[in-house]
Amino acid sequence: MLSINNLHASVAGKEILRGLNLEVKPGEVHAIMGPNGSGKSTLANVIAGRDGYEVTAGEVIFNGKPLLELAPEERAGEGIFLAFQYPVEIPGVNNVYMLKAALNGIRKYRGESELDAVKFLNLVKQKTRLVELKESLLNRPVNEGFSGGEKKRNEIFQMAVLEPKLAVLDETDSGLDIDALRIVANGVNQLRDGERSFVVVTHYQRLLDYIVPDVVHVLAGGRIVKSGPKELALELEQRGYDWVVGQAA
Amino acid sequence: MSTRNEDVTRLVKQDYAAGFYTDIEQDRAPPGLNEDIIALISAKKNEPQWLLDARLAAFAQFQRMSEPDWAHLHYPPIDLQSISYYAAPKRKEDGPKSLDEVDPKLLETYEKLGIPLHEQKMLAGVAVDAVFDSVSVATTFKGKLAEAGVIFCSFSEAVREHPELVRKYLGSVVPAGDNYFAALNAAVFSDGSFVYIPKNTRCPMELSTYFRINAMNTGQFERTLIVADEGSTVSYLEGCTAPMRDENQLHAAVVELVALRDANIKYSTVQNWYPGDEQGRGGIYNFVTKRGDCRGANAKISWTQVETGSAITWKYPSCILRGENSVGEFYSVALTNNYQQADTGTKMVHIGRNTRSTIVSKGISARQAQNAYRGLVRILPGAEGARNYTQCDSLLLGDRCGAHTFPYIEVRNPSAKVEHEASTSRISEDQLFYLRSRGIPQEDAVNMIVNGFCKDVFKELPMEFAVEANKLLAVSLEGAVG
Amino acid sequence: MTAALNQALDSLAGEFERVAATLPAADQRSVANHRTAAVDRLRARGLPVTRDEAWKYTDLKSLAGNRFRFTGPSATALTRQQLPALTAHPIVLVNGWLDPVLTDLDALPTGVSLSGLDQHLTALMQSRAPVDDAFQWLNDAFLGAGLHVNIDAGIAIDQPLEIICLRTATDEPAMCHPRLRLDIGAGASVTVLERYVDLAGAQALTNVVTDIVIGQTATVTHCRIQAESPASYHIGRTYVDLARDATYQATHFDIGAGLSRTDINIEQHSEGSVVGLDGLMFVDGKRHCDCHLNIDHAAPRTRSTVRYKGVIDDEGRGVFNGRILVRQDAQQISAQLHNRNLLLSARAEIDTKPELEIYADDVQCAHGATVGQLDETALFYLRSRGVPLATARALLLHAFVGDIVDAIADSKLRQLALTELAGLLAALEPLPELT
Repeated sequence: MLSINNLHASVAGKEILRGLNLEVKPGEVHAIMGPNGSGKSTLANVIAGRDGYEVTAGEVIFNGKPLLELAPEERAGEGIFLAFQYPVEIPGVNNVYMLKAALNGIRKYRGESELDAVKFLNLVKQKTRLVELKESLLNRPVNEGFSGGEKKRNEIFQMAVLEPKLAVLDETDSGLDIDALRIVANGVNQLRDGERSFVVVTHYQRLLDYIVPDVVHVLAGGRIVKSGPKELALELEQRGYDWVVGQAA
Repeated sequence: MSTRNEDVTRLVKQDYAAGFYTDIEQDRAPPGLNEDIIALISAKKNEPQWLLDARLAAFAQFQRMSEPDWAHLHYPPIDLQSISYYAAPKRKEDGPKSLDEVDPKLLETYEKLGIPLHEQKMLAGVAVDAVFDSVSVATTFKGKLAEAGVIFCSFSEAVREHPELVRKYLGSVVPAGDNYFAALNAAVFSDGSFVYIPKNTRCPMELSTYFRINAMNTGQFERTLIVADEGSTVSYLEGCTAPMRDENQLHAAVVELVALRDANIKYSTVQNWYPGDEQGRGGIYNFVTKRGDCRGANAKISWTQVETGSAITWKYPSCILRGENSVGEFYSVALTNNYQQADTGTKMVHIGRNTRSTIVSKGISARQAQNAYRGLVRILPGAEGARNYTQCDSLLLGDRCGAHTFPYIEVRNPSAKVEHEASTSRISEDQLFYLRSRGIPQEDAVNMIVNGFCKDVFKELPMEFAVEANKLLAVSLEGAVG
Repeated sequence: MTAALNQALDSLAGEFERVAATLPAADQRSVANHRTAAVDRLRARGLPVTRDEAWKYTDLKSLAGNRFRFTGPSATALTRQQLPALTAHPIVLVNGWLDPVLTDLDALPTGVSLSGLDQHLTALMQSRAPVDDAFQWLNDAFLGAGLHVNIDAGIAIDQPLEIICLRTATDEPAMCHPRLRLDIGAGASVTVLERYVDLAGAQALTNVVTDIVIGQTATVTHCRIQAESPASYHIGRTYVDLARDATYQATHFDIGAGLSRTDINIEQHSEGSVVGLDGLMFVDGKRHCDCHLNIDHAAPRTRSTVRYKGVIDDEGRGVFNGRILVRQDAQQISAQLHNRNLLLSARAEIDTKPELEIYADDVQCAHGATVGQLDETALFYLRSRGVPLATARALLLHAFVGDIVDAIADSKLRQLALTELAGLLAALEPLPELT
């Protein structure tokens, strides 16, 4: 489904990713862990197509298509979703309105007809339950005045509505208390259906207690230096990153 | 508790430690401004013909110009004919070859001001050029600097010893006809400092010039030129004081900075000219043109100023951001007390791509003083991706003073991002109460809050100056708020 | 003054000479003297040049290309049904003159009286000390057109009072100099909609002075929409005078005219008055729009809040100058002014200058100005959700102007503002119908 080969990327002239390889099959959950500054967020942003991340070599293939040539909204149309580490506040743009523009944009990209207002609202109502998002937040401007937990829940809620094929969660656990973490993880788990894949970027093992990965990768110095089963995360929690990084070097 | 007027009056006390006069035999020109005087100044300095010609051309331009009246300043007309344009301590023969030959009275003057010129007594790592009225009386550490290829000398010496550099850069940032006071300076300038940092050189010590006005009825018209060649770095400090007198004295300086590719100039000023007394008598009229030109890519010019002195301050240290990725900064604390007036700020002209500028201005006004920030941020069409951030805050201490903000923002490139924020208020009663309830006396609490208010600027000053600035602020304010 | 401006001034003054004798009450010596004195002042001072601080960014030299004819009152073939009116009974000025046919004088709400200026000339002549303002003098010189509205004390009017200043098509360039005077009695409350509209083909100079005098504790909600055609020059002065505890809540839309210059002068000379002013300029094509705002806090415990936004596209140029003055002894003042601008094209320009002039210490004053393009992070966020780029831009653009429109309390007015803006924004980035 997702195939990343020898990816090199820099930010402001500084090379962050240095030959990264990653293979994700349908239905799999991959956790990307690693120390600060290892390139985890860069990877997430490169997949979603954020400006300012310059890919200098390598390729990202998604369901047979080269992803790097596509605009962010085209990638969304292909089925990519990025849950932001810092969800953006957009004053004046209504949450539901934005979501409808997004959903119809994606449907149009896929050659499907637009969803009518009634069906859309039913869909939205149904999905709010998934992450216990207060309906009052729906008609507020995107993320404006949301608490940290509400923002993260809003990300997962949007993911539920847009039903991506591959979701990249960029440190979705950061800034969440244990209850919010449980709700967010629960939302993600309900979206696991054997087809949809997840790349879960996280600094701590904590999130992986709730979202159990199939594979754990350690990212260091812009490369994946170790991969293993879910137990690897526990080992990292106990022994820290130095051990793997040292081993790899 | 309130900031009532009587509290302010009780607490604001004038204590100007630099207000003494040095009685020294002088060589001075008669009052008056004309071509003969200009020729006299040029002759006193044994200047080459080209410089005299330049002075006379500037004077011709000056005569066609009129005094600017757009600033938020009120003062009686300045009688330029009553001022003497040249005053210098008399010297034996050709002037001192070394510090040992400098008149002890002069050394004593600087000692008293806290600027010992004997190298063994000096602050390590700071070279000083001491300008007394119209001449430089001494420059320290010249030998050590020469080892690194750095030229640091009086302007007069630079004209004699390095005419090619002076000719190339003089007036290239601030042309003679730039403005009324710059034109006057270009015609009659006396002494100042010259700095040249060669390519890829980090200047091994802080450079500094100490300006002292001493003589009566004179003006000081110094000229400073700093050239940082490609890849070089320099930090320069400037200090100013003058005796306490009932008459106003004019100071109209021009400072030009040139930063070539990858060069970095940091220019710091602690301006403590005599501000006048509590009734607004006397004090220096300070009309200064300072401008830096980032000529090459990645050049950086940073201005930091602490302005506590002068009866009138008219001063806008500016940056021309020509080279791509070049950076301009302006950090300013301007404090006006009693009848002082300041109209000060900066201009950031973005010409090159990805140029960035930061402006942080802190104005403090007490008693009857008027304090204005005036700034220009101009983004030209070619300045793709330019950024400016401006923060201007004013603090009012007393109900008879004024604080004003006049920012001009001109943007002609859609990819530029410009943000300006300004606020004006008095000291927060909550903050004051909080500190006092912790047992801190009112005056200390005020100083603490004012210092906090200025923190973003003070942290930009070189260490020795930061301490100095802190003290100066406390003295200038001496309990300005109740 | 430049040769072009001299020529423009000669043309304007010459037109005054031509029509002076035909102006209302021209035979009354005091009125005639008032007009002549104004023209003399104008001649002596000249039209403003870019060296004048208040006109630094607005060059009037293009005025010289036109010879504007002053037009007196005349009947129009328009019917009430043809008017682009929001309300059922608008007050209509045609080329500056109150139109007695199009205006239904019988339909005015109780407590509202309306008339032409005829009976008010003497009062208007004394209403303001001479200021250094060439266009005020020009308006004084042609004093006669316009209207006078009086609202009795204590009256609350729920329907917006709609004033439409209509320009009709003319063969040659025309000009008008109307004066709108609104006296709002103590304790009254009213919503005033002031609109400037051109009929097709109008090519004109509108030089209007609007005077709003608000009595104690009265509340005026004012919506001014200037949507003249790009062939027009619009010079507008709005003076607002607030008595004790009065409230002025306004929204100004400067979205039309080839060259527009508005000056909003607000005097808070008595304690407790409150001003809330929102504004939006939209400048596209080669248009030029200049808004000068001046708020004078002359009395203690007065408050003002200003949010003014600019959207500049194509080769348009926007100018904003917002000055807050707090006078000595005007303590306990709160004044906030924010100016945000969007530049949408490579050749668009904005010049903004927020100013604070503060002579009292117990104040909370702040201003801010920003210039930039649409927020890139927000754009990326929307696009990563699958929102197409054009839609994402439209969303952000609508959001940018949206809070100005949303703040209009009267739903009919809000709808009108939306309609006026929708056309403009649609031309930029059409927003798909999503509901």
